[in-house]
Amino acid sequence: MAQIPNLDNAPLNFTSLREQSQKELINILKNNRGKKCLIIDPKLGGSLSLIIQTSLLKEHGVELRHLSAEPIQTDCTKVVYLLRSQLDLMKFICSNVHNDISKGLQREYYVYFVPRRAVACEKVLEEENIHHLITVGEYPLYVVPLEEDVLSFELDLAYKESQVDGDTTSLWHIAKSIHKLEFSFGVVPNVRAKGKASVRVADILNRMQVEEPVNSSDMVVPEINTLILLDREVDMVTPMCSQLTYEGLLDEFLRINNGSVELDSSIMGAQQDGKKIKVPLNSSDKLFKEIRDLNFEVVVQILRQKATSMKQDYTEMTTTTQTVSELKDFVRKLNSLPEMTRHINLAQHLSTFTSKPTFLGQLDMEHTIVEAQSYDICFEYIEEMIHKQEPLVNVLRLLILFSITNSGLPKKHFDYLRQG
Amino acid sequence: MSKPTDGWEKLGDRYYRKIQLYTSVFDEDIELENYIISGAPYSGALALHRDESKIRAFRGGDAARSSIDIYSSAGKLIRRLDWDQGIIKGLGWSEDEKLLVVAQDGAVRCYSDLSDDFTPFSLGHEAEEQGVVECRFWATGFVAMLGDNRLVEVSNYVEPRPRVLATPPSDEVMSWSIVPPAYSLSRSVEVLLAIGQTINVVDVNDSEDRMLQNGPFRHICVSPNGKFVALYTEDAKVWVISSDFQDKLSEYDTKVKSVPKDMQWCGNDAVILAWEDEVHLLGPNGAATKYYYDSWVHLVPDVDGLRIFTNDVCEFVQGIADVTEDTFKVGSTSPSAVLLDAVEQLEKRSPKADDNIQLIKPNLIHAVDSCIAAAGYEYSIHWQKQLLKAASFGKTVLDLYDSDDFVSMVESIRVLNAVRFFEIGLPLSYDQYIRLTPERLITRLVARHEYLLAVRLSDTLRLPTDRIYVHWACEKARRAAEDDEATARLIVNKISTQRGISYDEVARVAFDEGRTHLATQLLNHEPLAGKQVPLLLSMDQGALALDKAIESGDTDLVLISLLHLRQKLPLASFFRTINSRPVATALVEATARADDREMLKDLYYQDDRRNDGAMLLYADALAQKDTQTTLARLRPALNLLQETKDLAPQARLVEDTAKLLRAQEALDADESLRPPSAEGQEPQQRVRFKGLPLNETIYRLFLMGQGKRALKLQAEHKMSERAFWWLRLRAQVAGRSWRDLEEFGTKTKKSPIGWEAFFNEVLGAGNSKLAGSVFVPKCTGLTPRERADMYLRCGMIAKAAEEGAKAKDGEFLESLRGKAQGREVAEVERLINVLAKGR
Repeated sequence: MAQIPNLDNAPLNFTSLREQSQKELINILKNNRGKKCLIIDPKLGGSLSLIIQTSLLKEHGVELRHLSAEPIQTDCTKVVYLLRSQLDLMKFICSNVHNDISKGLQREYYVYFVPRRAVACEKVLEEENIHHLITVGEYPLYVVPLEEDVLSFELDLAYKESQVDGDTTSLWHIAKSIHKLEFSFGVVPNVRAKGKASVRVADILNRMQVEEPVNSSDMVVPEINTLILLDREVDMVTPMCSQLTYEGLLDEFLRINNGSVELDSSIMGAQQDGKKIKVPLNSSDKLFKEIRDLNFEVVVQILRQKATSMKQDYTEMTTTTQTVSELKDFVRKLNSLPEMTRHINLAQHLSTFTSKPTFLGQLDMEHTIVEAQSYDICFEYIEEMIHKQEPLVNVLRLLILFSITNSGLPKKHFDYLRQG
Repeated sequence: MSKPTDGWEKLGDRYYRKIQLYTSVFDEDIELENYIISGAPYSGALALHRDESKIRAFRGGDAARSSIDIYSSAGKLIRRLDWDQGIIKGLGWSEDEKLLVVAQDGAVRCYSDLSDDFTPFSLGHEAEEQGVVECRFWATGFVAMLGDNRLVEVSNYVEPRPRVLATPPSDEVMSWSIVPPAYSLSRSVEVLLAIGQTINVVDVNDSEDRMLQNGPFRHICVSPNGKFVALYTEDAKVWVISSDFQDKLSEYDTKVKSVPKDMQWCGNDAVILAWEDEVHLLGPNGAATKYYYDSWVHLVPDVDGLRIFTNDVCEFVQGIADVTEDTFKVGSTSPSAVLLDAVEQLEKRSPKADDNIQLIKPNLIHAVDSCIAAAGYEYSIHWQKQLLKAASFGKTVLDLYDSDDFVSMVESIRVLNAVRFFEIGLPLSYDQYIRLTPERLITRLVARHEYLLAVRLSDTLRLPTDRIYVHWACEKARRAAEDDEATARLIVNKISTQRGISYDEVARVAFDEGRTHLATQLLNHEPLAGKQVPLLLSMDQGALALDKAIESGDTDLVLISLLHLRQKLPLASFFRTINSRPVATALVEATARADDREMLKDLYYQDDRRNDGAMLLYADALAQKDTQTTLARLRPALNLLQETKDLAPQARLVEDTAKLLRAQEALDADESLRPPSAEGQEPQQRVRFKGLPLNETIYRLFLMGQGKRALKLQAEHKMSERAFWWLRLRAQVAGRSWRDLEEFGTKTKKSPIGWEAFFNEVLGAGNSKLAGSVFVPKCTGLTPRERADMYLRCGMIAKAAEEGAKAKDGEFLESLRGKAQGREVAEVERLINVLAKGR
């Protein structure tokens, strides 16, 4: 099964969005003729894997590399960088180019910023005195269809950037993405925003509509009726609690990235050990679609039920004589066998985590905190977690949850925890 | 009424016509024989320049001033460009009506939009040394011939890059011509040089002799489609050959002694020769006709024909299109001709009209199509109407007919008639119009400042009008005599009615003209911040630019503004500027954190943000490799924090860090803590303490069995007992120090973290025996029932049963039955019995 999700049933034509992005990328490759080394920043590589197959890139004479400070190992004279416009990535380009210069290698460098050029980044190149060697372009990838009903802006640090650093780039990015969508699906007539940042996004979006009006005449009925923008801040409780659905638990323990999890192949029942494999998780997998949002306990039951019924079918198969149509039905059921195996393996792996007392203890504590039952018990529990040197993220999650549900901690306690 | 066939000439099997476009073109004072004339493609403007090589009457100072005059085809002076750059050796046009002027020293000026704005470039070193002799132009470039016969090519005017072609022989060049890149085999320009008897073909790579023997050729000319070459030989003959020099297509003997002054192609199948006042039109297969004029004649070739200029008239010579010929030729029986006749009959109310229709009924669609097409080729409004009438009459008879062609042709004809009007002077033929495209026609009108017509035509053709308005506004900003306020109002009033017009271009023009106030006024109306900001910056309105950028929410723009401000302003006032703008401050901080920490420190200092400043120093200090440096750098951070009371907790943190670092340094230096290396193995990598948190440091010490040092650290740092106990417990469990734990468990009475923790950790590590036997009994605070469970988890059924009995939980005991083994079974049974009796 491909990692690229199937979007045929999407309420909007996401396929065309994805094809558009695909085409733009291929155009970039086509414009630089001949063999070339494409260097992708790893995070972006994840997003791209949802848009285009590697094989398609290879068809266009591409040698694929991940961005790093290591010297580029390639015979190609053309080097195409594809990266997010972030300052920390620039130093890799600089070190690559300087390395080539010191070796006397002459190459053509192309840097494509995703989704657009940034002055700050180009300034770095200028300061390093390599800007004149580089042709700069843009690859306007603003949204990635993750699922037939989910588009992702791929801004994983947006909350931190805007809340902690006050860097509102992400807000502009979001507005721009929506504005771009409006070019495909018509201007959204109703926009509702909750929270400061969302209101700002709506403002910027409004501005963009004035600056670059979407030609509405050829679009009679806008396909999107209402846009609802929500600040993460509106509900900080949910993300601090453990997720308990099947998909949520997969994410908690195995980290879902770009619609897939990476784990040891032994877990999935493969022979060779120690090798990592990627397991795609999206609604193209019918079984996953059915169980992803269910509580894990229920999922286990369903899987069991399915396995049992399959077994029953199988026994019936071996014992009695069947008509051809019944045979056909049976075979059809067999087709879902790989999916079954996959999820049973995953569920089994998950249950090794969920049965741990620490996990259950943590769940209990989350409950206690959310119900705001006893301040002292919770406080002590968190303190104990710190003493036990539990992973910082777990501690912080509970602490934040605790702080929110109590409208902040007393200064005395806060200082005490800080000291500890 | 004139006949449509007036002025038709039959040459061989093709008809040609000469159409008089305009009369009294040039002023009598202009002696055309003394001028170089160059005309823009698609019936564009004419550039006239006094030929310096010809003698002229001295007329005093003013007239001696050299200029290039731009005229319309109707002889209206559009612009006069002053010229003071020496002798002009090349005067030509690009297809988008850019005027190219090449001076002898290789300096080129490219005037766009028929205005006096130009972009200069140079043909390079060789041209400067050798001097330019002559130039030949094509749609998007030109070739200049230098004094030593070398050729320099410029293939586009956007980024002109002069390129020297292969070196040809240095003998005298009799005449020369070019094949434009679009029509050459090599897809780059080829130059034909008539040298001696033969012709040399020169391109980028090499110069090839075509081995002809019929030279010398006095004129050489390549047809517009690059397929044919016309040659004028010494013995007054014109040869037409294919451009690959393989076939000779026709030959014509002029029988004139003098060499013609010009030879040009008229379309792709006729050649025109011009003497002073005589013109020969040569059709295919050597057929020819002659025209005579009263005065000097100039030829201006175009894609589908040729314009002839004299002082009096401007005429257009072209081959007649097949549809026109079919429709109008005397005695034609083609369906279109019959249809046209039918309309005439209809006007006479003659029943023959219907006869005609019946006659061509099977071909009626074709007839209508032909009439529509023929209308396009017609210059006379009467015949245009007549043909269109015929077409529409024909349409009525047809059951089904797609009228799109008809409608668009009517539109085209209206446009053509409008621009052919003598005040506009763009005598486009239909083919030229199609090739030029309506968009570029509008651009040409705008360049001629014919705004009203441009807007009207755009409306008719449903084309965007914004460029027209912008151009108009730019002109206003440049030339309006009113003050800035009034001009701004005028411009805004006019263009605010249009959607999506960008003001930045206008504002930039205003700014370039030195009307800063006007520029600012206009910019306020610019909706696109992306355009506002850069201009404001170049106008040195940094703060305003910053505000606009922030308003737009586009952080990249904000950064651009900030970078600009940072360069322009002293640091202190830069800080003041961003201080009142939190978004800007945040961005400065975010970027400075990555690349300019010193500035960030200054910023925090200036803003009295002690905490932030101290944290920055703190992070910096910790990043140092050497502990002493780190300690030294922690000092200023601490000083900063101690300045106010509010920050006491932070100050204490920094102090603690310093203390811890010192202790860690001592630990790292202590050789006795080096892990013993097992025999035959590599010495283990020493784990450094430096930089670890206190917890981790103590934990490690315990792991290493350095309890005393851990204790010392705890005391120094006033670590809470509980935390300390936890660390010890976990370290001991991790180190599998079961004996220590057991000893500790039996000896110690009270635990600040309770004994359950011990039980859980030990059990979690797999030592159920120790957990059960030592630590469960210590959990005196729990109920017997809970203890029973704990025993059960250790697998100590007997003990569990005992506690279960204490808790009087019969059910629990029952449940143990199944789990008990060996001696335990009896014990469980006994307790069940005891409990049962007790009831």
